[in-house]
Amino acid sequence: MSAPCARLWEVEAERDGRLDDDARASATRHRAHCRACREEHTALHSLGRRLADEEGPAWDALAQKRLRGKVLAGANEARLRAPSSHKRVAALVAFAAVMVIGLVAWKRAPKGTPPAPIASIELRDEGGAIYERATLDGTEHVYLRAGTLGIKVRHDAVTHLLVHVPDGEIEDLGTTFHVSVHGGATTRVSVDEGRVLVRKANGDRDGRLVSAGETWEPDPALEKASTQATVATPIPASAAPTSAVVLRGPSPEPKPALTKRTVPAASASASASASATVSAPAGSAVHPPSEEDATYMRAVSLLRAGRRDEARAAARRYVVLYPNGLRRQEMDVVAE
Amino acid sequence: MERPVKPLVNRPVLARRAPEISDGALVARMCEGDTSALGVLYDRHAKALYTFLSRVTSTGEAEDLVQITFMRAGSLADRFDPARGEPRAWLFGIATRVAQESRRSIVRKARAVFRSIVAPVSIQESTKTDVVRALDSLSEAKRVVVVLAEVEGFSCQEVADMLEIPIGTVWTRLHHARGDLRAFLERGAP
Ligand SMILES: [Zn+2]
Repeated sequence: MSAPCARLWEVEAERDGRLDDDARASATRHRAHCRACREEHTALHSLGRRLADEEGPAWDALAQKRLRGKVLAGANEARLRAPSSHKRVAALVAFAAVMVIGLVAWKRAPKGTPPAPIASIELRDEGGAIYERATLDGTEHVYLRAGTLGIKVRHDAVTHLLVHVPDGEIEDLGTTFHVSVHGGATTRVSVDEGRVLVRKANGDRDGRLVSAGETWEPDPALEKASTQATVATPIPASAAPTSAVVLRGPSPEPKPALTKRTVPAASASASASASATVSAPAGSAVHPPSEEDATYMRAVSLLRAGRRDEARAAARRYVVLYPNGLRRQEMDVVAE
Repeated sequence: MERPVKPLVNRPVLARRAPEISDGALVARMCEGDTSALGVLYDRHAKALYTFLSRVTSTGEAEDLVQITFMRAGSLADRFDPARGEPRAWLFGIATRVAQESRRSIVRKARAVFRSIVAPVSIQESTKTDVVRALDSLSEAKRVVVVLAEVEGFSCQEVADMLEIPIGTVWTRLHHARGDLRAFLERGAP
């Protein structure tokens, strides 16, 4: 079934804040004359209303009050137990919770998460590693809370691995490396195969290349001076498997750290300058995007920069890599 | 006899002045050890969190999860950073994590820690509306995103921050969630 209007995707893009002011104005003008887009707009609006209007399950007032008492009594009890250092108790409780999470996940690891783990990823505890592993929407996630974990990913187009560390994440595209986390911060990333570029967001444009046999460690002076995000991008123009290492500033759980958006160049031919021109959409705090986002954003940024031929090539690349991608229609138009 | 810290469960002063105090100020008071501030935060957000947790977990444990959410908010208050968003988003972020842990059965252990005994109340399948059944048909990842964005009204960026996932992933999940919901509601199956 082909879409009745090539701009239909804009309706949802607008709703989700993916359009800038000009594009939004253009979409609104277009909608006035396009029945298909108007209908799509109404359909999405009605769906939203239906979901929002759905009344939640009844929760009787007495049960609410009873629970309130329990919450406050529990909180008071925690304070009374250690009145002079409630913060330390809180930290210990949080730590204990993390330990429980880690241990349970560890014990359940072989059958804990519903989808089968991707076979081409090997994880090895190299010293006190507390981690969980999960498959979510086709991406393999590893949550490393403490200790050292050895990670080996066999290069495979289907495999996509994200290693979440307390102060950031490490995106792997097929390599072998080791990550150490201590005291809630990443203390070491060493690479056996492939290579990564570690870059501080606060003005360090060149970053630091970590190749096979090398090790990344935070610079203690810089760590103290700034809580700015550390951002790394894959190395362009290389046939070697490459990883993007993204380390954010200290991130108190459960709030995510504020990071500047940096688009890891998805393509092997991506140039650093092109990825640097990509700006974040409205709403400052942005996480490093997925490969699909990066590919899409690159095409869009090139288009905005007036570099049509490069934009067309980037869009074609998107279409090839993500035939069922969310921005397929949009990229088809750019690729023509 | 003098105790080092008085329990503040029923202190009426703060509750009476509640409407004037912002959520952010309440969290700041929690950091000072003022438990009654947690009570006001509970009064403002518990019902919404209960509804949210009922929708995203559908395990009949929402009340339990609300308790754990607020207990955790109490212990994490000093790590709340107002520059990074509203307390409401922070609470929903905690609740989302609690829901994820619940799925992995971790909350069952945590429950013992908090010594909470709450009988789970399961929702009768027959009383569910089409919309609720449509939501139930989604994967948890898609359900959480669509409920946060479409029901709770958080922006995609706020959802990305809460879940600590790239905004592109939020967009993708929302897109697929809407598609599945529309298919379910139009044809009665996803
Ligand atoms: Zn149209």
